[in-house]
Amino acid sequence: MSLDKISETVRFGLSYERMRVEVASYNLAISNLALKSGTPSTVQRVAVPSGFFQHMQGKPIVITESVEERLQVDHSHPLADEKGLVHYPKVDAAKEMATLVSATRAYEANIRAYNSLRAMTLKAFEIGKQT
Amino acid sequence: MVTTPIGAVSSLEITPIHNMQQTTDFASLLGTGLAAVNERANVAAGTLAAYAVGEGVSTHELMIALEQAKLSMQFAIEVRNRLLEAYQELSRLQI
Repeated sequence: MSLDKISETVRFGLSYERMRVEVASYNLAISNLALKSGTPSTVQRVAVPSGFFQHMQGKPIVITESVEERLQVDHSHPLADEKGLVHYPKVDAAKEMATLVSATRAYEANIRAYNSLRAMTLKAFEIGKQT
Repeated sequence: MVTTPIGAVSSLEITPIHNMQQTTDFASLLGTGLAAVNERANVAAGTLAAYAVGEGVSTHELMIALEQAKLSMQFAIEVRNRLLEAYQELSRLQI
């Protein structure tokens, strides 16, 4: 594996984790946005790669996933239906927070991998150097 | 319990270098290397420009491009240093 391949791997890992953070932030952001009647209740997910190397070309794929609705009684809400219920997408906040944490950690790990690769390359330049 | 003794470590397979290379002109090798360095620098500059105008380049992509350019530049400098050393060694030769 050449230096280019490794850095390409790290680059994909970074984009993947970044996309997971973006998607989790999006889901958290929409969790309290009331749905207009008729709009499907969806959250976003990053598609699980079927194989790592097939997915290394291009960007990670974001898919939308339909979830249940969360109903809340609020007669004064402008988007409330005839029964006075307001529809929200049911976002699992704990799950999204866990995704945020694990994606951040994995991002850091990828950067660590790249930095050690870089340090190894710089050390390799010193082979045969006269002190 | 049956234990199997640990065998000796098999010797490393070292492929002799002269098997895998065909002779190429050294100057042209240098030329390709420098072209690669230039290419990397151009890629880094392009990524930086795209990042500056906000074309959806993420931070890590920019940093990796810059770092790769820097590393290949440093590699070119190291090659030059070795070359110069060798040349000076030869020029000091007493005949």
